[in-house]
This record gives sequence, C-alpha cells and structure tokens, in this order.
Amino acid sequence: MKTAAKILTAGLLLAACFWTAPGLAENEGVLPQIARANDLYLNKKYRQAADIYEHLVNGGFENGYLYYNLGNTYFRLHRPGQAILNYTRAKKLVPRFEDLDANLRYAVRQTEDKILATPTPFPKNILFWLDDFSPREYALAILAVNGLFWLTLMAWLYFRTNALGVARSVLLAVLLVTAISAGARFYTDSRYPAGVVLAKQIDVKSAQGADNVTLFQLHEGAGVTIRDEEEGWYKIELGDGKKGWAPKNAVGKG
Amino acid sequence: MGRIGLAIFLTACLPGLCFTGAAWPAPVGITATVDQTRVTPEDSILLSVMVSGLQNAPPPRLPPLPDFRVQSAGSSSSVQIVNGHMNMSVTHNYRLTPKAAGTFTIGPVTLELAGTVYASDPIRVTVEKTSSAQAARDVPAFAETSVSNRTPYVNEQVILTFKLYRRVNAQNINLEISYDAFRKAELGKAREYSRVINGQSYQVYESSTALFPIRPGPVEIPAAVVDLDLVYRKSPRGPFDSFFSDPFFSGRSTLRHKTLKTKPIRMEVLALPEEGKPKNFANLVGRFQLSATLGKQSVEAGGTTTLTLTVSGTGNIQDAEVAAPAVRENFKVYPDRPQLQKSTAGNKLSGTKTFKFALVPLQAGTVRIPPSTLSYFDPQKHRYVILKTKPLSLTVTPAKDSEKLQVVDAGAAPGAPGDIKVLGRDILPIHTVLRDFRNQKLGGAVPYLAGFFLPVALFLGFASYHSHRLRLRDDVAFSRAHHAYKKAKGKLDRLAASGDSGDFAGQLSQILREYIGDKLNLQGTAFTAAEVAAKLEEKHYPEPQVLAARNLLEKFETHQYAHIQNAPPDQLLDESLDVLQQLEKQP
Repeated sequence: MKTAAKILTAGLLLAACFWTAPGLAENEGVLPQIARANDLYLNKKYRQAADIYEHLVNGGFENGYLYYNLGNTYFRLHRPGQAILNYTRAKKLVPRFEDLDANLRYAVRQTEDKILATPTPFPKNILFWLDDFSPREYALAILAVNGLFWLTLMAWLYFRTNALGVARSVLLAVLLVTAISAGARFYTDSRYPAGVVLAKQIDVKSAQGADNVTLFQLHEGAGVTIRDEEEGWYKIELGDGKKGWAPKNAVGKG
Repeated sequence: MGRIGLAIFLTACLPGLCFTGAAWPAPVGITATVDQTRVTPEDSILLSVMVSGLQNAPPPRLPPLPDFRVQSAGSSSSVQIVNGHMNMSVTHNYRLTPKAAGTFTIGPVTLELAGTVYASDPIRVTVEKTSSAQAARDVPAFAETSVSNRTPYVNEQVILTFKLYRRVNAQNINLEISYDAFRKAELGKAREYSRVINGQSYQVYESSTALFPIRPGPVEIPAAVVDLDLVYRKSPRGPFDSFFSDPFFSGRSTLRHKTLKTKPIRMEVLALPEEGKPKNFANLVGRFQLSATLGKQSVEAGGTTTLTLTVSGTGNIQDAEVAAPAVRENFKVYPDRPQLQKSTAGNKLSGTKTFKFALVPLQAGTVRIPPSTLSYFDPQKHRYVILKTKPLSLTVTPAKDSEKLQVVDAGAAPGAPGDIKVLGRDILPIHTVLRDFRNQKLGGAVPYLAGFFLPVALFLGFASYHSHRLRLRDDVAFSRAHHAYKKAKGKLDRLAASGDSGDFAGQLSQILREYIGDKLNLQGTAFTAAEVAAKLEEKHYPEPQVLAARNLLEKFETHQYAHIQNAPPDQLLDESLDVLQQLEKQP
C-alpha cells in the first residue's frame, strides 16, 4: 500500500508540474488595460476603447468577456458586422453568458438580413448540450473525468467493492459522452466555422471571382457558415442551404 | 466527409461485389449438432442447427421437445467462396435444459422451402441423474430456497429467501421464480457473504422477497430456476497475466453454462377467522400502530388546518386504509393522496402510510374531531385488533372581513399586470468584473495530452504493482524465490556478526541450501551438492554458476565432515555471498 501511495503521490506531483492554470502574472499587464478600456467605454469614448480591446486581442489575449465588450463597443460605433462577429467569438468562450445572448439577438435584429449562423453538422436534439460548453471546458472535463475514472479503476482493482464497480462503469460512460461531445465540438469549430458579413453589402458569386454570376446579396451582420477557403474567397452557406462564394475581406471568421 | 462516405459505401458493397461473377451457391441442406450427448439435469445442451446454401433462410422448425426447456442462444451466418463455389450458411443456436433424467431423442429439425421439406438427422441424448453423493461432495454451485412460515394466514407476510452458493465466479445470472399465488415485494438489496460447507468455501448470494398469500388452501412455490455461466479461470503464466485475466478485461477464462433448480416448497395458507372480524376490516394483516396529529390547534373560520393520520408497522402496509373523519357538518374536508414509505426492518417489510386531510372550518367555536379507527389481524395473537386515535379538538375563531371575502371569492383570479409600454431598446452593458478576464486560450496540446495519459500510466504502474503483490500472496514458489536472497543475506549477516565459529561451514552450507531450495521451490534442504547442481542445470542456470555452487557446497562438506579447514571463515563467508549474488543474477 505504501508503494501504491508513493506512485499516486508521484503521479499527482507530476500532473501538478504539467498543469499550471493561467496565472495572475499573465494577466498583470492586461487587466489595467481592460479596466482603462472599460472606463473609456463608460465615458462614451468608444473609438479609444475599441483600440485597446483590439490591441489585446491582436496580442494573443483571448477571453469571452473581452470579445463581448468589444462587440458592445462596435455596436455603439454603429458597426453591426464587427459587433456580431465579436459576439460570435465571445459565444464560443462564454457560451452560458445571458447578457451576451441578449445583445447578440438584439444586434442581429437590427441587421437587414436578420440571419444568425449556428453551424453544426450534428443533430441538436441528441447533442443538445454541445454549444453550452466552451472548448476549454470540454478539455478540462475530459481531463477531470479521465483522471477520476483511472483512479476509480485503481481503487476498484484494490478493493473490489460493488460500489466502485458501479462508479467505474458510470465514469467510463461519462468519459465516453464527454469525449464524444468534445470531439463533436472541436470538429464543428474547425470544419464549420461561423462567419459574419462585415461589408455594407456583398454579392455572393457562383464561383471565385467578381466576373461570375451573382447568386444572392447579403448585408452587414448576416451570419454564414464558412465551408471552404480559396484564392481570397470564402465558400459560404446559409441556414436554408444557399451556397456561394464571397470575398474574404468582406467576411469575418468567428 | 464525402471521401469517408465513399469508403464506407465501398466497404459495405465489397462483399456484394465479391459474390458477383463466377461464384454460385451450394445446394440447400440442414444439419443439427449438439455439443454433448451425456449431461446431468443441471447442465444444458447447445443445439446448433446449420442451414447451408441460403443466406437469408427462414428459421428452422424445431421438433416437439417436451422434456426440455428451450431457449434461443442466437444465430450467426457465414459466407465463404472457395474456388468459385460460394458456401453460405446460417447457424441457429438453442439451449436445451433437461427437465428430468432419461434418454431422449431430439427429432429431426425441419425447414420448408418452396414446397420442399429439408430435415436433419435425429440426435439421441442421455440425461443422467446427479448422484447425491457427488452433489454433496463436489459441486461448483447450487441453489436453495426457504420460507419463514409454511402455514401463514391470507395476506400474512412470508419471507422467501433464495440462496445461491458458488465456488467459482458466475456471470449472466438469471433467476426465475414464479409467485402465482402471492403478491410480492422486494426486501432491499441482496447480500453476499462466504460460508464453509463440508470443508469447501462457498460465496453465497442471498436475496429475500416478502410474499403475501392471496387465497387460503394448499399452495406451492415452484422450483426456482437459475441460469448462469460459471467462470473457470486459467492459472496466470506471466507477471501481467493475473491483471489481464481480470473480468474487466474479459481475460483468459472459460464459461460453463449451468441451470440450477431448487426444491419446490409446499405451504398451507390459512383463512382469516370470521369470528370477531371488525366491520371496517380491510385485509390488513401484521402489527400496526395508528396516530393522529392536527397542524394548527386554533384556526380562523375559512382557514385551513391539516389532520394527519399515520399508520406504521410490519405487514401489508400498502393495503392500509383510513377513512376521513366524520366532520362534514363542521368542516369542508379535502383528502390528500396517501403517502407510502416502505422500509425493511429485521428482514421484514414494514413502513409508514400517511393520510392527510385538509380541514376548512365553516363556523367559529370549539370543534371536536372524533377518533379515527383502523382494524387489522395479528397473526401472532391469532385475533383481530382495533386501533383508535385520541379525540382532537380545534378552536375556530371568527374570520376577519377581508379573509372572509377570500374564502367566499376563492376562485377569483388576481388582477393581471397592466401592459408595460416599451419606450426604447438597447444592448446590455459591458462586463466589468476584472477577475473574469483571464486568458482562455487553449494553448498547446502537450499539457492536455500529458494530463490525459498520466492517469493511464499511473494505472498501469499500479496494476503491475498490484498484480505483483497478488502473485507474492498467492504463488508460494514465486514468493519463496522472491524473498530467497534477502533471507539468505540476512542469515549470512547474522552469522558473521555472531562470530560463532563452531560448525561455521555447516551453517553456511545450510544457508546456501535453503537459498537454493527457496529459489527452486524445493522441499527440505537434504540434498547433495550433485543434486543441487542437477536441479540448477534443470532450471537453465549457466554452467559457471552451477559449478561455483557445487564446489562451494563440496568445500563446506569437506570442512564439516573431514574437519579440514582449507579456508578461513571470512573467506568462506565472502565466497558464499559471491555465489548467492551470482545465482541471484539469473532471472
């Protein structure tokens, strides 16, 4: 038992070495800038606030609330395309933030097309929780359930009680469900990214190139699903199945 | 996705493509085989009926098998193409459990196809009685049932206990007991424990069921039938074998199907006596208590108080019924749905059934609530018992005007909120809680992969260690070999420290022989140097090590018996340690 305890302790220490939460040090230089940008927004200096938020995003800082604030700022600057794009990005990171849902719906209602992209190839009635958790939450859930499962398996191997047998089976089932959900989520994010029209109006063409036939027009803020990318053009798809090619510089990737 | 879909389509179509062209089917035929022809009533026969020449053959028709219990054991199909000839077959499996001993013929299994009847050959099987001596001496599993009382009253609780004894692990346990003449209620979880019978240790699975006889007269609980697969494990050969032969990994083990039967139990159910039967008796049999409480002692007219009547005790508590109190003149009575809480006390079904009545007093004053009654039959005292609660009194005060209005206009709906006029719309404000602004970037895959595989590695390490511990505990030879060097080294150290020079060589010889005995799992230490050498060679020890051990043992013998000291004790000690270390290096 002593050796088992040593193995366990060594493993946990090793895990602790690998696992370091995003520390305060990382946020130290960022938080004052966010506080300043928030103050600028509250004082209606939206242009300066947007500059700071954008600077942080371009510097590699990724946070759902930051995208939400940036979305609000662009909304105040009367740029609904950028506002919806940032709300869409925020939705991936803080999926259960109710204010975000309200603002996104409101912003979409202000657009001409009133289209909100919710791309997923998976049936929503089965994996109904798919959009309720962020990729990071899925990753952490898998690690937690996986660790718990193997620990339970160890305990079951040693003690052989019915309760541990049941716990082992339940955790295995939970692990499978979590893994399937995470896989579906990562697959959707990578293969079916959402896009938002940023230009006032775009012509969606039958192929890459301005000379091709215009299939339909979209307006700023319309939500699309990006299916392919080629020679400065995105192949986009709407919720009703309409497809076409739109210039890349006129569509933002969520 | 398109390429994956195409791959799946091609994979699905491949067998079909293979069957086109030159391949043609073989003629239709039917054969029936059994896995064994001599069995005991506890065994079962696997009857396999193979229909060849057809891929989608209809199920064959089994002959009448009144002497067997027949269960389907699944079917399988196969397709083979050999030299352009296509052999297709479907095998239907049935498990036949004999009902009695004797010699039986399984008649031809038939298949009718387009007016042609195909039939298999009949099969003769012998079911031999299990001798009682054999049954008592050496059975891997058996089952028994017992009841707490063979002469119960109608509706009296009888505890049926089922016990399954087994000496090996069992899987796919299916228990069938018929309770046609009873109502039944499960009594909590089954329990498992060990018991030694005739010197054999059995694992016992015990479950209890509460039965309530429905009608008087002789009744029989038929034999319980337990179908199960006994798991016979093969002994582990490697250090990881005991771990990987674990049931969780479906390891190396063989299953043997068994059908166990218990003896039927005859009972005589007594009718409840007519003498002294109360008028409100509602077939409640057992031992019960009745209590009554009132929610509020004082209430305004039009208000509400709750009368709670609680029946508790042991027996068919689910049948307990208590009538609403006779207070219609003074109250409006609204009965609630009774709440039943079952529990197990002393391996008997007991519980509490609660009856609630909302009482709305109609006028002010002191109102008496008459006692409620409950009658039941006590099987231990063989007589009826009538329970009565104490009378309760309630003070009803006059209602205030507003409340009186509420009582009278109870149905009036509250006023709907007025329509709120929306004057403007806007987005919700920005998020300013700074602690929420941490970087949510996923980062590289390495920490996640490490975090994922670390527990797996931990588990494998632990499982290996656990398997080693189990082997040390269960495998005597392994344990002896494992501890041999440490034990011998300890003895050498103690000998060196003691400075005892009397028969020093004899003691060293004994230590070395014990070490070799432990290492090779030999009994005793009375073997010659030549025998030791032979045993070591048998175990593939390298020749120099064998020679060193033999020479040293011979040197000890020379010291011991010829009393010739050709080396000082320290040198002998060093040589012994050297030989031990050389032998220990051999895996």
